[in-house]
Amino acid sequence: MPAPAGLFAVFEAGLLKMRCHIIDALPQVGGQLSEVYPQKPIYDIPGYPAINALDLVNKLVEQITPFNPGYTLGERVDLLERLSDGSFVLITNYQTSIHCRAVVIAGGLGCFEPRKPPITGLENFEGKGVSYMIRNPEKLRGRKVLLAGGGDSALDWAVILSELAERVVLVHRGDTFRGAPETAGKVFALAAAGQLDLLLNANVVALHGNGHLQSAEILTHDGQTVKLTTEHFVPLFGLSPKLGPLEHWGLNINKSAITVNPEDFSTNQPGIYAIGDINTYPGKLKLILSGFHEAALMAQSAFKYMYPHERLSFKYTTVYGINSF
Amino acid sequence: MIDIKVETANGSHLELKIDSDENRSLMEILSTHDIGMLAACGGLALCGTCHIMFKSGGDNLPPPTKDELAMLEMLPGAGANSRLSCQVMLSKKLNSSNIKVMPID
Repeated sequence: MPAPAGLFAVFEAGLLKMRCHIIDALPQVGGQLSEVYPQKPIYDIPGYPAINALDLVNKLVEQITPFNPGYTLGERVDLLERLSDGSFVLITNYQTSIHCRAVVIAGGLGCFEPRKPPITGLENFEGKGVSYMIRNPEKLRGRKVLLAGGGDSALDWAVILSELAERVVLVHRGDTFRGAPETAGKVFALAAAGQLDLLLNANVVALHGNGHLQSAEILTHDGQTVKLTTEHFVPLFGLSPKLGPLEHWGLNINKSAITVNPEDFSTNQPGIYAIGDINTYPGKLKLILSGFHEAALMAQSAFKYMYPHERLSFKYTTVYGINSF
Repeated sequence: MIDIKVETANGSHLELKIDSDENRSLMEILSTHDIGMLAACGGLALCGTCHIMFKSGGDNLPPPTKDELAMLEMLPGAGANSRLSCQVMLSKKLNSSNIKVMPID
């Protein structure tokens, strides 16, 4: 899950002849630099008066290339198991399995997961009529579909599904849309033509069904309750940063960050380290340059953890250069 | 000085007195107090974890930008008086305002 700290950790580990494998839930490395603000300039990287976020990521990737890291991109680590010899197996949501002797979590803001509105019964029907994204609209052909939200995504899907579904209802808590005006205009036109139902100033408050979603309860702002038969409900409220599966790995968590020892950025679980924005310790600064420092100290500690009987000699790259794998 | 009354997400109350010449966002001020504000994206209007609601005051602030409105649209608990505190710069217009820090969904 490497943001800049994670990429630089590959370099620091490489100097100590430890090869790394990078797993990132996103389809590319670089964390929020690549995903969120690739073209934004960063002004506090030592030696660079200004550098674009994506340029920094590209330079880091170039810097770690001599150490030949493995890459598993677009997959999220769901399970982490410690084996009897102290090593780890990490299993992704696509069942890729990686065996390693130490784990470095450089997860930045964490995983972005769908934001879940407060609706009674919502989680009971996940996968049984409730989904937070539409992967294959064809599966909704001829179905009764309830959408909630007022952003671009809700508007876009309302338009698309109005041609596919038997009935589409879009519930929105306001009476205007902040999404693209032309799409909002289309939605109002489709509603006027009876091709979709628009429930404004209303919220979905409860879901009901027997094993599978059968109906939804909608409360309008003037206090009326509307019951609606529906087979599918798709709340579209964007993504929210969450720690994700690593919340269940037995790590000490404080306010959505992993508590670490500031001497070496080790967690409470031996062999598992956390660096960059995802960790917390007294005096923590969420800066890329702090993440680089954390990566260097982590690598020294990880070496001692993995090779307790080997002597660690500190070497300067100016003296020894880079010895690629 | 700018006086702001704050109700935290867990219901406790505090009163902030801030120098009016500080060039910082309200999120940055709130984050320096231990009130559990996550502000995960650091001020880019991308995560919604610095969501606040004005109980009073805030009427004369500069209106939300398109990016802020787009994020507010996604927050289930957002209402007409919602703002992302990372997009609200400190100003004397905030004096005597009363805000509630919204819980993170």
